[in-house]
Amino acid sequence: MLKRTPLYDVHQKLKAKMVEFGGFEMPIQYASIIDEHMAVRTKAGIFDVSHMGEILVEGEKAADFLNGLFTNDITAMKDGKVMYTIMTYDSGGAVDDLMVYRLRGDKYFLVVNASNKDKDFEYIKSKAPCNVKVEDLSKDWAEIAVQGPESFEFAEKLLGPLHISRFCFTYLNYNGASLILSRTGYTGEDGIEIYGPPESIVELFEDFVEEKVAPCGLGARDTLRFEAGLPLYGHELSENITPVEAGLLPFIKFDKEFSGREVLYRQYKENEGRRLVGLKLAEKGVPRQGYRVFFGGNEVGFVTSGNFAPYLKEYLALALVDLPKDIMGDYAGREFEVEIREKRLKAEAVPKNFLKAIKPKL
Amino acid sequence: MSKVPKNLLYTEEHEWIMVEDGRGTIGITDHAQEALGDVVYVDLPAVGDKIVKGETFGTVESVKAASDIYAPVSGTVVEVNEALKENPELINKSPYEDAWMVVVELDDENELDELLSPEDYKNILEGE
Repeated sequence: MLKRTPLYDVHQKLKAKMVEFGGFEMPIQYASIIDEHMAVRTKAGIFDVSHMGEILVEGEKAADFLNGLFTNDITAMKDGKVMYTIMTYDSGGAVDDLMVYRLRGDKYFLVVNASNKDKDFEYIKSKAPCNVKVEDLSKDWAEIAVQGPESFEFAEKLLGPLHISRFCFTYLNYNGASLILSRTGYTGEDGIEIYGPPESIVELFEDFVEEKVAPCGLGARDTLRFEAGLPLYGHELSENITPVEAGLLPFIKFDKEFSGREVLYRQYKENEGRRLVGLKLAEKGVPRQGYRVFFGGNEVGFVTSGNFAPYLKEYLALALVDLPKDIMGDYAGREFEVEIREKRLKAEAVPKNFLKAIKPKL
Repeated sequence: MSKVPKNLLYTEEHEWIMVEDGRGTIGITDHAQEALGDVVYVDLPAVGDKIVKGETFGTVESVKAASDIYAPVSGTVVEVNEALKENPELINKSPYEDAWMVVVELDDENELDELLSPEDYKNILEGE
């Protein structure tokens, strides 16, 4: 039986197309994925992301404990800060990637991928010392994301003046309910994510839609994060794809201990393993996950995510490739090929943050 | 409810064909474009290519997925709608008119008897 978010009835009312995702029945689109994508790039859109998991970790030793599981250094955080990190196995493979909210020095709110929530919870619990409490709050929390260049203005219109900088959060009393608002997102645009009890979140979602903020489904969420070169667990990161391979070095702090550190440090220092590259196709064609990638005539890897990027109007791919060490880290501008239905199409290596690297076509 | 024009014949795989003087114009149905969502790429055969009834002769790709197009009849391609290469979104906007895909010279008009009438196709859609 698929789970439903508190916004299920609202999605029905808005005539969303529903699909299964991470054990939930979620809207993939309301009208057109491309229109929703463009609304977020040019104005504002709103997403139901209540399927995301919320885990609370609390205890005097919580920070040190979590820091031993995470690649990023959460001991550097202050109260009210949000940090992106990867949680790794001893093998260096990713358990998940997540957002860490520091509520207090001894209290952390983790937002994890829906499909990994149970696994993450069990993993963290199994590692936790007895004085650290790990709690799964997912059932009691709903979440919406308002994203786009005008998203913050819309939020202030509905909620009053907000003083939140990028990667920070604040609490807000909303009709008696306590909300968490963070200046974060997964689209490459400015935006805020709002966590709270189901009734308040449903009410807010409807208020935003009333203000003509476009309701957006998981389809646009995926094309937006892809166009901005943001990783998606199960594509760019997995048990078998390490964060070094995924090019997430800014979120790995080697000057501290954490599970998987040795493997990751070796991959980084010795240029071992594979690397994620951005590819821009020179011809029309839609690269999809798993398609083979060639370099100099040899098969070197596969596409992890690929699509037509609606804002840039280019056919793009992220690909995990294994190249000779002397080329590793120096692929900009090099020519690859992507095999689409037995045809090899030329593709140029470009930075993974396509949105920054490529000028949109008019 | 998706549109099902009365002057066309249909396949269970959601292609349509309009036959005039031994030539058939082929495209995908309104229901097909709706199910696919925003179309971003179309792969079609070239003039002179043979297509075979029931076999794929092209691909339509939307943001969500790739979908094969099946030939409603066998024949030789005599015209290809080049506009779809530059503007694949025509398939969403005008599936029965601007977004025709190919015109074929039919091998055997008897094959048309096996296709679905507008009523039959409508019934299939309602059953889905």
